[in-house]
Amino acid sequence: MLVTFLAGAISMGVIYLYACLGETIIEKVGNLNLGIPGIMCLGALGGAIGINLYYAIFGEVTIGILIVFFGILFSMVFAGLGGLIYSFLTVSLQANQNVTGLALTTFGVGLMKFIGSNMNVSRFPQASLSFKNGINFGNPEGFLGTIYKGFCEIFLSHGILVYLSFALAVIIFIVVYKTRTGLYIRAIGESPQTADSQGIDVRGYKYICIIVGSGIAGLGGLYYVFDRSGGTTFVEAAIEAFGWMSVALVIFSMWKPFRGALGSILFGGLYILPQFLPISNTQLKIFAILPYVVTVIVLIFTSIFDRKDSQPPKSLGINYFREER
Amino acid sequence: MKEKTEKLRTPLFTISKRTDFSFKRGLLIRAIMISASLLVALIISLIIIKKPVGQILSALFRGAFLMPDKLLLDTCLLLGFGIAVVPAFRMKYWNMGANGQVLVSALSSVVLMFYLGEWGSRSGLNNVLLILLMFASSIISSVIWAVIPAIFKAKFGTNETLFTLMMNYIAIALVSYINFVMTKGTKESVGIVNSLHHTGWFPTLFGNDYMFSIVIIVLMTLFVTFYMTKTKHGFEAIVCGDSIKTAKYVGMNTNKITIRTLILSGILTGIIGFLYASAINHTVTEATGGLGFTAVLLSWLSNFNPLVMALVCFFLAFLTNGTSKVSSQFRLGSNDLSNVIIGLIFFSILVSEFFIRYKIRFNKRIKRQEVSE
Repeated sequence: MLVTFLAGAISMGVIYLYACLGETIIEKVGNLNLGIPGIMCLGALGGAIGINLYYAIFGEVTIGILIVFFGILFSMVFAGLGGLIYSFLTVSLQANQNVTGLALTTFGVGLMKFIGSNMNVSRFPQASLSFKNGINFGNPEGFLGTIYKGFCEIFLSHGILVYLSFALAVIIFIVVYKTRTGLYIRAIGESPQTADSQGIDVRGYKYICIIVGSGIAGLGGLYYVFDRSGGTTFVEAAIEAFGWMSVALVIFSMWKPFRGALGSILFGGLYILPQFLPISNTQLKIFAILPYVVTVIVLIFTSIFDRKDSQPPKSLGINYFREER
Repeated sequence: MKEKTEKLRTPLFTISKRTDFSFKRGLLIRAIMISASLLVALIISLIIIKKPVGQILSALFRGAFLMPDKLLLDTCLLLGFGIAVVPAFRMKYWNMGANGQVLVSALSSVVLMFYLGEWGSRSGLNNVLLILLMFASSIISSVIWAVIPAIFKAKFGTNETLFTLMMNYIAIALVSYINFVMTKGTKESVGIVNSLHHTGWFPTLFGNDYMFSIVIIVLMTLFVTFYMTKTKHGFEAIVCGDSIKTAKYVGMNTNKITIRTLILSGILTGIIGFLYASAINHTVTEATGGLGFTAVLLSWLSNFNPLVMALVCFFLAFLTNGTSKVSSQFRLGSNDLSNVIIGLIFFSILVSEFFIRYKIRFNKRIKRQEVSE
């Protein structure tokens, strides 16, 4: 039971983790992107289109790795295009970030539902098997064997996107905190004026970070549709709610990738917790508020204890206009 | 890096802030951009629907004007949502919680209607009392929903955008839970309450079910316009939004203003929730508060001008009603075409804002060779 719960928490948390990592990169350059739910939907839509394209090209032959590749590629491209719209509007055209983000959410969610409901979804469950393929572990016996099996089920029973997400957390940590590029990125987030005066291409970095971040966030949508829900819930997907919680998770993680990884498992655990409690169907409905209430509590606590190392990038939410120095 | 600094590079164009605003120019830019977005929307729908343009457009217009009173009601509801978020937005308080506020207020009315319906049907007086009770509970619950995040924002600076978003989802979960409780766990929705004896239903005006709601929302709009432009409270909210430092410097109690403004917002959404429960739907579902986000965007992009807002609302209501007909006629399986179009329109307005506020001047190209030598 505990093993199933922990494994479920990780596999649920990955949805939040992708979006959280993507949004972290975007916020590091000083842009608060409220379009994450829409971008995740665009990612899911892109993945679906990519996979249908795969079946159109290769027919019924299942080459797992290619299916996953098509899914990831198209998902990132579509989500990246969403990011491009957002960055064009906010970076080049100085549009209000909150409004642009909300418009992007309206557009992305709408587009996914509109195109998705007119799409051939019959092959998605089959395709999702390629995403879900875990590592096959042996079947040892005895006490140690049980522990080994539990360990494998919690950590090694997942699909490839789960490992990719945690690998990304490590990569993003290294890039943002240990390289010169990361230093530039953080400098732009703290003070774009200073960064600009040092010859850093503020707009270029903003564009790249927002587009890459959006691409990563889009994988969250892809993962939800094709791994977590097994390709069965495409249009009815609750991606929008996940998106908002991921934005909250970025605050909870204090803009740090590793904390984001731990937080996402926590959020995932909270989401699936009611299923593991001995309660009736009616009570299950009321327990659905649990993740949101906890998010609120997290928001309140992070705002009460605002420490120096847990502050958002200083220019977050403010557009940079060169002539305004 | 070094190589770059040696070359003299002129940017292709320079952007500067415009000081001259011409009304005509602004209108022209907006009109061009919105038409462009509609064209894109039309192309997307042509690709998906695969039917001639004429058929799609005729379905759109027929759907929109099929029920004129429904079109008017949708316009007014959207306007009501939009106007309810204006006071908070003028002080740059990002209240995304209009959905949740309307949901809880409609929910509280429906619960009262459901459990006191029989008592209310006994006499005319009881019915009036019930309606008053519903009205009060709607306002109170909506105000509570609006004020909780405001208090935390005022006291601790808690991020109100995410807080109010979470309050929306909590409201949605509450609605589905209480619907489940009212039907004793048998159904997802309680359905139309008191459909037999109409207890707790708002009376009709001029023989039309929707007219009362429309009148009330128009009055609400007038009130908020008056409040924001003619009263001290409204002025203080605007000052807080423009510059919180100025507000503090002249001795305004910003925390008090935040909470006061959000109480007003709560009252306004409470009225809308009450109208939903008592005069329009007579039930509550998760979709009841669905207009909140659109309202946030449209009130911001109309620059909080109530007349512009009314026009935009009418246009959006026209699109929503029209596309729903398009969806049903061409069996699209989802009603989300309107959201795609609305998203595109908002993008185009954001783009046109740029061309209205900024000036672009193209620079003469200096030949590379001359410079590098």
